[in-house]
Amino acid sequence: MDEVESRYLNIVIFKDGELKLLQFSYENEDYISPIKTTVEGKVPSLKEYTDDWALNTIIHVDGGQYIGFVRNDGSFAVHNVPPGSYVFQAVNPDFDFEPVRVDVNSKGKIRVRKVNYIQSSQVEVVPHPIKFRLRGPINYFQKRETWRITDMLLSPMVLMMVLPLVVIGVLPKLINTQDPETQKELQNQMSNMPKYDMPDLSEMFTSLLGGSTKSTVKSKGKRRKD
Amino acid sequence: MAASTCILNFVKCLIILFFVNVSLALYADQVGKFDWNQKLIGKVKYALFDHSTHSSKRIVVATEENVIAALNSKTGAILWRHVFEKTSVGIVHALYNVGNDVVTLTGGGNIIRSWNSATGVLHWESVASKSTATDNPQSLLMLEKKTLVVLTSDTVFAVGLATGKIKWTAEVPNKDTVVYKHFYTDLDNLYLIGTVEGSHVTIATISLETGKVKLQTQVPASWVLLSTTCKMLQSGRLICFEPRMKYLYSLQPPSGDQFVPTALSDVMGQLMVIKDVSFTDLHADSVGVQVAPDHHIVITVDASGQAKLVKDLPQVFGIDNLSGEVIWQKLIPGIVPFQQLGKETLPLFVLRTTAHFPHPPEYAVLGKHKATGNGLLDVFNPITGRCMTREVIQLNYRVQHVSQLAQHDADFVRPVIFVDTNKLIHVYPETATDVLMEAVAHNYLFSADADTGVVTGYRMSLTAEKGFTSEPVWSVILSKDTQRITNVVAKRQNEHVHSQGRVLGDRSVLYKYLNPNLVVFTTEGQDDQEKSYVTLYLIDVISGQVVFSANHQRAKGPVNIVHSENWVVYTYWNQRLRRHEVAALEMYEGRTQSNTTAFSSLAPPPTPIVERQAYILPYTVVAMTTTITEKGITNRHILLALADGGILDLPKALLDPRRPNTPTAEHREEGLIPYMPEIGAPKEMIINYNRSVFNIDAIYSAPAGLESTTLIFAYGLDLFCTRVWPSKMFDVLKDDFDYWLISVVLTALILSSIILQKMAARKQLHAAWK
Repeated sequence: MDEVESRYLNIVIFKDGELKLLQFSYENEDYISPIKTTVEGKVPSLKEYTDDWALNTIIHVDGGQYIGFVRNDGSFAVHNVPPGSYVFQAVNPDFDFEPVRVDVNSKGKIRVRKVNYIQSSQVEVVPHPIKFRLRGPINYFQKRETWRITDMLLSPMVLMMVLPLVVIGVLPKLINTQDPETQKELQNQMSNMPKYDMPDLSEMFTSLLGGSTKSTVKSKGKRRKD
Repeated sequence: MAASTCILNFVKCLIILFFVNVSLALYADQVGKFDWNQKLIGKVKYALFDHSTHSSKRIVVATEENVIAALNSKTGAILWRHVFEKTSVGIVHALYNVGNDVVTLTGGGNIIRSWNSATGVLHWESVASKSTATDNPQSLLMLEKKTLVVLTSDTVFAVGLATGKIKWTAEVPNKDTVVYKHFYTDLDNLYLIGTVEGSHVTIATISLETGKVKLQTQVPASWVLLSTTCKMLQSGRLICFEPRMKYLYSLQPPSGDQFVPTALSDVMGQLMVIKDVSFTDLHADSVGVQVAPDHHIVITVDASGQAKLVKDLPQVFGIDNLSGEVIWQKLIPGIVPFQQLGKETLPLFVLRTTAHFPHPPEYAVLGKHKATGNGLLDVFNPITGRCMTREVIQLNYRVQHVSQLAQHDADFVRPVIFVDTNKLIHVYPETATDVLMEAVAHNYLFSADADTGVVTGYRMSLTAEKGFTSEPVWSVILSKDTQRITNVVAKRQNEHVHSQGRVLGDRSVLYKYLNPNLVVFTTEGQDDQEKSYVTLYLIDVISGQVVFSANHQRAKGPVNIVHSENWVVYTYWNQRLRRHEVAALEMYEGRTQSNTTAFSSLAPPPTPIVERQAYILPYTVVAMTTTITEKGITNRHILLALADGGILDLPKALLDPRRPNTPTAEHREEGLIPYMPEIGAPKEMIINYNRSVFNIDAIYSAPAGLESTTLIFAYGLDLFCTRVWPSKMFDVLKDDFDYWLISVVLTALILSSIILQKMAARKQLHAAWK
């Protein structure tokens, strides 16, 4: 009977109760002397980028609470880790690695999972020993904008200004208007075009603004009289 | 629908974040242009010359800052460095040179690591898992440096130094009664020397090959205590110091069966008070006594924007903020720091800035005298470091409280006032009593006692018989048995607030609650179920009114706080969700301002409206501060020193508790960024780029002469100094300003106008002649 109960407990622990158990052992760290575990893993080699990558890469556990050092082959170990849940991070000033969360239970069993700060109960297990994934070299700087003539010429504003100029300036020269044949052809085209009954713009404006211009003149006249 | 708006928000956020990033980042060619950093190692504990075959130009050191480093013996430059844990886990207990490797003992005596002394890369490491950590593990190299034997409080073990394999582990005999602190060896055997308080000394003989205990002998020593300082000399002789009668006892094990006493006065001559003794080997068979000095850091910045680092007690340093070069350094004899909330502090005051020519600038450092405990004040010129008085001023009372007045005297010195244990008030300079007289009516003092948890406010008064005194007017008890005060953060005295309110989306104004007397107190403790909590109190220290308090259940420190204008930003560890969080709170008076001319704590406005929000921090913050500028017009940024070595420059707009979950048009009008739970650390916002700084204690910020610029100085194990422009360089030409282009254009315009003028004149002349 006891055995069955404990098995049942184990299942619950595995599903989502483990966090509670871990929490328990974590909070009571000072009171019971817990088993201390060594957590091992590997950092991908950066030999192709720099020579002293192994020296400059360290493993921070919860922001340096525990620290691991990297050997030439990229392997590392963090010793004396008491039960709890920790974020392991490979720290290198020039390269970015994806951190992982490591849960160590009170028996010293290790589970590695992806870091999810927002939904911390969500478990996405990754294999143990830890294999850090390189996200890539870090770029701390922004690019300075350099002035190049092509940038200016290809900007939309310039294109908008220059192309019509080309059309106006160059196209008439391409078609020789002095040639009598082409002149004739153009005239023919003009005469063939249907004539729309378009009101003259200038007339339209004068008729529209006529009244108002008169009135302003009048008012000015009045003022002068005063 | 909800999902789509969520995604939309996210995208908007990304866009805004991207925009913010771009405006902040450095350009690659600005590296080292206005910043400098110094990688340091701390006070050296162990040092050895590297005997490896490659080179003999290296010195390998281990320090009290838990650092091991290799130094170039000619230049002193750091060739490589490793920073261990800041806690007791990282203490380096021993350093050995074995072949081409350097061997260290850390982790309370059970982690042995071997480092390649040329490259600094870890060669092998080994952990004695059965051995528990101890404060003072002992270790010895044996068998022609092929084996390292380590003694901790409960075990003794041997490690092969070729591969790092643990050869044997043995429990020490009678570990419950006997305390083993020393051991030595001959060719075959290991001798452990243990003490039983007030009774005898035990010598256990252990086989070097197998780790088996062969023999145990006892030497009577009734004087021996657990705290007795002993030293094993290289010859195998054990020397112990007995402080009560000042006797040195020596024993030559294993043959010697009796301690030989020698009165210390015979050895040392006249000795006054022996407080702490440590032994050092002079020769194989003699002993020296040494006293270790202390080590502390303080920093300040003067008004002209010149950062002055005042560092290390009893030493004070002046450092050039442009290059990081040490300009001067001085010793203040006999000075020790004060204890404040468990931390050691050495208050530093700017009495007079450089702005009052021909008066020289004046700074002061206050400490206490090592022997008497009375106050010790050193007034010096920050430019030269020279003492301005004839000698260091010895105050004839114990200083309980110190603060600086806002007013200055006729010589432009802002006086410092000291409250002694009898609550009497003293002032420096003594001639400034008239300033104090004026200040008495409207200046108040407060004190927070970490032991009792009582915060008390005092009023100052002038009595005929006693002179200036202070009397308590209010007190707030913050600490029950379960919690204790961990932080007290007031606003900076020299802070200027430019804008009295905040314009909302509907063009109305939300007035800020700008109480200059507001102080943040935090307490940490555990509730009935032994769950940790953090509480934050905002107390008006003139009236004693608790303006606001917030409690975070299942949260833990360390709490970093920034307190400025009408807002407080603080970080804590969320124990339940196992992540760091940052909370921002802002206080507002409302749509109307009760007193438009000045703030009065004695006639306070109604309780402020407090807006607050918390965010997730996916990194560990070790220190935090805010930018400060001369007029307060420039945007505020928060600077966070991260555990991974970066210094993050975060716009305050990201920590704005008004960030909406579902942004409306009004929110957009107000310029609010939609809420996102996580505040990341984009690498473009790391102002010290790949020059990582570790174990930072604090960041100091100071306004520069230009409104746009704040000077930043981060200090701890490493130093880093730079400038930041929270609103970009709006009052300075950018450093990529094209001087060449603008001068060419200008000269071309001037030339063409002259030529055209001449041409026009000529044309007019021609026209006139026609």
